Amino acid sequence: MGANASRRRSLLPPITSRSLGWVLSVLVLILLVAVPLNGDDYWVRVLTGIFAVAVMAEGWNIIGGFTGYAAFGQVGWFGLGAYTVGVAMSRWGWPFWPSLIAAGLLPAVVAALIGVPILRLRGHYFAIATLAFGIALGELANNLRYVGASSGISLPIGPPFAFFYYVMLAVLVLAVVATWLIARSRLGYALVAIRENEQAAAVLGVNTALYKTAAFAISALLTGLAGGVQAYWSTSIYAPTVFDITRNVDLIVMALLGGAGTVLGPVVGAFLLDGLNEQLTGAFLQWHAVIFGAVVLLIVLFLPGGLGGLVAQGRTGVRNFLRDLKAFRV
Amino acid sequence: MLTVQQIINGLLLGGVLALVALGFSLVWGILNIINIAHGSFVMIGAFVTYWLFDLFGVDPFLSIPISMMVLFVLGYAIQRGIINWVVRAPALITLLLTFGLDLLLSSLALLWWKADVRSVNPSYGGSRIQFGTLVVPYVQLSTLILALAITALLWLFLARTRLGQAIRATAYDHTGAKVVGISLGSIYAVTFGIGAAIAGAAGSLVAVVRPISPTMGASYTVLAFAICILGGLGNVAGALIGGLIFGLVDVFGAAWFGAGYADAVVFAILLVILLLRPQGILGREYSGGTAEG
Repeated sequence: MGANASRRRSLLPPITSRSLGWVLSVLVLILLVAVPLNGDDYWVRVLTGIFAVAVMAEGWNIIGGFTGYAAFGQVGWFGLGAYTVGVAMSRWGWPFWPSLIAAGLLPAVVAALIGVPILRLRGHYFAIATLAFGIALGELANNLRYVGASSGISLPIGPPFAFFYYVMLAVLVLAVVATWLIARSRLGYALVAIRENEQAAAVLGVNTALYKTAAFAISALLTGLAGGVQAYWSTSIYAPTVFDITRNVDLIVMALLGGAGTVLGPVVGAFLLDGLNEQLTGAFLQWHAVIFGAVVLLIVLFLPGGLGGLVAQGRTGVRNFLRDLKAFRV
Repeated sequence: MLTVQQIINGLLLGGVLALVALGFSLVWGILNIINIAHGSFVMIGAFVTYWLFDLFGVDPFLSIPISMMVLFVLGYAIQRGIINWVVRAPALITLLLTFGLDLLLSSLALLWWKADVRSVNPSYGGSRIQFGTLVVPYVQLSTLILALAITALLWLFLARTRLGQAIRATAYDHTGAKVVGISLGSIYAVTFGIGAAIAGAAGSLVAVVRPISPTMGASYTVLAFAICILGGLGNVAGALIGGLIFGLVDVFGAAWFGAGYADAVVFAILLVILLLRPQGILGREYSGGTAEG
C-alpha cells in the first residue's frame, strides 16, 4: 500500500467509517453474548476477567485519556468497589444488586470529595497523589479488622459463572456507552479542552474544577462497579489482590495501546493485551511473561503512535510506517 | 530514648531509600523518562551482590563497584539500542517501553532465580555500636555512609566534570547542546547508564539489609517515584532529603500506628505535602528542556 491508497481512504466520507465501527461493535457484542450458550467454561471465565480489565481501562480513559490527568490509582476504586460489595453482602446481609449500586456510588462520592484538592495538582504530581491514595486505601483494607484485615472477606457462594459473565459484560457496555455519550456532550468537549490547555479553557469560561471532578467521579464509579462484580464472582477477596498496584500500569498501557481519549480504544487495548497474555500463558507456561514483555517492547518501538493513531488517521502504508519509526529517534 | 533510636533507625533506612530514588530522579529529570524498569535494575544489583557472596564469598560491600559496572553496561545498552529509538516521543510512550522492559527483566529473573526470597548474611551482620541504650548496627551505618558518599559523588560529577556539564546542558536545552557538538544519543545513553549504575549500588546495599527476590522491583519503583516527588524533581539533594524524610516517616508511622499502616502513613503525609507544596519540598518549577523538546 502506498500513499495513494491511504489518500483515497481518507477521502471517504467520515460517516461511512463511523457506521462501519457501529456495525462491527454490534457484531462483536452479539458474538460475546453468545459465548456462554456454547457451555465452554474456560472462555466464560477468561472473558469475564478481560471485561473487568476493559472496564478499568475505559474508566481510566475518562480521566486519563479525555482529561489528560494521569491517574495512577484506578485500582483503588476497583478495590473500594469490591470491598463495598464484600462488606454489604457478608456483614450487612444485603442482596447483590443494591450492594453493586453501592459499589459504584461509594467510589464516585469519595472521588468527588478527594478530587477537589487532588485535581489542583498537575502532571506527575497528580499521578503520585492518586497512587498514594490507592495505596492508602489498600493498606486500610488490609488492616481494618471490620473488613477482615489480612484474612479478607468471604462472600456467599453466587450463581454460576455465566451470570457474572453477563453482569460484567453489561458493566462494560455501560462504560462504553457512558464514554460515547460523554465524548459527544458538553462535558466531553470541556474535558478535551482541559487536556489541551487548561488555562485557556478556564479563561473561555469552562468551569474546569467542576468538569474535572465530574470526570474523576465517573471514572471511579465505572471502575467500582467492575470491582463489585469481581468480588461476588470470586467469593473471597483479599486486599493485595483487589488493590494490586502494579495493575495501575497495565491499565494505562492498554489504554495507550488502543488509543487513549477514544471511545473504544482502551477496550480494544484491554482485549488485545489481556487476551494475548492469556494465550501466551496457555502456550508457554514458563516463558509467557518474558514473551509478553518483548511484545510490548516491539509494539512501542514499531508503533509509537499506538494502534489508535494508526487506525483513526488511516495512517497505514509503508511510508507512514517508516515516518513514524523515524519521528522519535535522536 | 526510644524516639532518638527511632530517628537513627529512620535515617539509616532513609539513606538506602534515597539511593534507590537517586538514579530514578536523574533519568526522569534529565531524559524525562519515567523508568518503570528502575526497580528491576535495583533487583539485578541485589542479585549480583547475592551471587558474588554466595558463590565466591565476595564481601557484599566490595561487590558494589561490580554491580555498578554490570548495570552501567546494561543501562547504556538499553538506552542506546532501544530507548533512543523513541526518546523524543511523549513521556507516556517511553513509560510504556520501560514497562515492557521491566516485565522482560523481572520475568527473566524469575525464570532463572525462581521466586525464592534470599538474603545476604555476612559474618559481621549482627555486630553493632552501642551508646548506652542506643544501638547502631554497623551494616546499616555503612549503607547510610555509602549512600551519602555516592550521592555526593554524583553531585560532584554533574557539577564539576565536562561530561557532567554536558549532561546538564543537554537537559537544559538539547538543541543548544547539539549546536555545540554534544552527541545526544551517547549523552542519553551515558545518563541512563549512570542512573542504572546507581540503582545497582542501591540494590547491593538493599541486599545486605533486606531480603531480596526477583519480584522485589515493582515496590522499589513505586518508592523511587514517591521519593522523587517528595523531594522535588531534577536535583540531587531532593532525592536525598526525600529519602531521609521517607525513612523517618516510615519508622515513626510504624511505631505510632502499627507496622501494617507504615505505607498508609507515608503516603498520607506525601498527599498533604503535595497539597501544600505541589512542586515538592526542594523542587522548583522544572525549567530544563526535555528529551521530547
